Amino acid sequence: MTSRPDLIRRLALLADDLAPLTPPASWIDQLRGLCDTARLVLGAAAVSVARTVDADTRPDSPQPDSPEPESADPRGGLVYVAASGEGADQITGTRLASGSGLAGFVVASGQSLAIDRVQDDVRFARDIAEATGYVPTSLLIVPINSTNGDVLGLLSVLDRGTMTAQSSFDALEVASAFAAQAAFVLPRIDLLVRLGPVLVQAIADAVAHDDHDLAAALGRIATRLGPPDDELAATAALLAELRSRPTETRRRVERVLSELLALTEPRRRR
Amino acid sequence: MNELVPAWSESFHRDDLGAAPRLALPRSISRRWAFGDRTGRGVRVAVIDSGVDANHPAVGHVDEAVVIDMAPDTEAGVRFTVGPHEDLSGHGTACAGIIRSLAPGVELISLRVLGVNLKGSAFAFAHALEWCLDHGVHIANLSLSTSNEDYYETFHDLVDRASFARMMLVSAMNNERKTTIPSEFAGVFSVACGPGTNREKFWCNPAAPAEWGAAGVDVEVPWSGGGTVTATGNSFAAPVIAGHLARLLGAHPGLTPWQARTVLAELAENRATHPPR
Repeated sequence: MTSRPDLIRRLALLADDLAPLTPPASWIDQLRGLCDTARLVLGAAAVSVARTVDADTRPDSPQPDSPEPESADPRGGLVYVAASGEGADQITGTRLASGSGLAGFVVASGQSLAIDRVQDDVRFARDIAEATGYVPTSLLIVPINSTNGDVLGLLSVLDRGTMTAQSSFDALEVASAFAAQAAFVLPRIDLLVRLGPVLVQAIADAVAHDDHDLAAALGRIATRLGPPDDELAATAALLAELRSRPTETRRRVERVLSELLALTEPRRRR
Repeated sequence: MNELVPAWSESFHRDDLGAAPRLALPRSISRRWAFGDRTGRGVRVAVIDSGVDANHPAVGHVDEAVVIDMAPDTEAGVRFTVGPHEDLSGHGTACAGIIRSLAPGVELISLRVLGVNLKGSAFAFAHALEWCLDHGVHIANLSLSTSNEDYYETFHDLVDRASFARMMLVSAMNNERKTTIPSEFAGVFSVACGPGTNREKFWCNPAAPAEWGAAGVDVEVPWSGGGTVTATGNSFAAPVIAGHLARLLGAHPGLTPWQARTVLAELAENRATHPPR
């Protein structure tokens, strides 16, 4: 018979595993709408958005009797979060253990890639076509970048067509513009996907320790979440302290911080 | 199907590119003088990329291969693994094949920095340039760049050191219009796509930063698996310039990057018919 702590641990692992499949619906709807629009504008057979996920950092190592999840990838990978067109249902939720292939190249290099006659490429078939069940002729993949240059994910365009005559943009420019839109949404999805399992694990942890103290349980989970951002944590602690100060002091600190931030803007290159 | 034109390549596709900067030389520089036997023999060319498929017929062979990987448990934070490796995407094989097609006699070195880890490629990339400086590389093809501002100083220093060591860095401009490192640095040969698919042609943009233009739109390139694909990107234009530089250095060992620039500008498709006196 499974013990209660083990049951709870399994529940926490399950919550972690389900996280990529149960992201916040409204944000996913936005991305799906973006894929629909991009597909129409580009006259493409399909458009999809995938987000990068970190290396597997689950808080508890599975015990010998619990199976290693297939998705575990020490190098991180990609999860397709929204799609439109051919193979959309099949690819949504698919995880690529990616450090290789065309998608892996775009994520690692931050460079877009446009390949025609992709079926000639054996790597392509393995990476994407098998997952979707649709084999395109051309593929355009553009990175989705955060403002500081990190690759948050990628936008893939399968079999782009001829755009409307009045459009003077080319497909790469259009796809990049849609990727820029997706860049606003992906960090929010990422945050909520991470937050959900942490909360479930904290509840499981509190119950398992019979102390019913959620704050303490959150603290314990936090220590197992990998290296924290010390600088950010220190800043957050200062800001928390600031809450107890008079309004005038808070406004002055805000002004000083704003000016400091403006001074430390990255220099203009050109 | 739409023709794709990567960012920074537009200048080469318009009529107002302007003439390449020229010297009023008493005799013009010929391709025969500049490129000699067109083999690039004796020139060490590094491809810093996703690895190179040494068995691909368009590549022939790879003379040295090193995987540069993150190793957080070590003091340097990086691990060098010498020995044959595969190309994880096909991109590096494309670049190597293009260089070989122009300069078949070069010593080809594959430095794999992409694909081993989704993050940290900029760190491995910087270490690859260090490796090139330490191992007598003459030309490094960089069909990759980083937009991570934290690496600005690191790459600025590396590009300066490369320039002083007469190592030529050929850097593809990003396909999207965004600032990337080191492709917009003055010390690199920055490359975007010119018109057509003929690798013998190249253009010199009088208005930097996309300094050189070469074939890169709808070009047939070697890819992993032994075949070819039709691809578009500034990534595929950079190795064309690297190939021409290899020819030049093969014929004239020891040229400095600024001498090489002058020669290439004299041979550019958009050179002025009557140079200024």
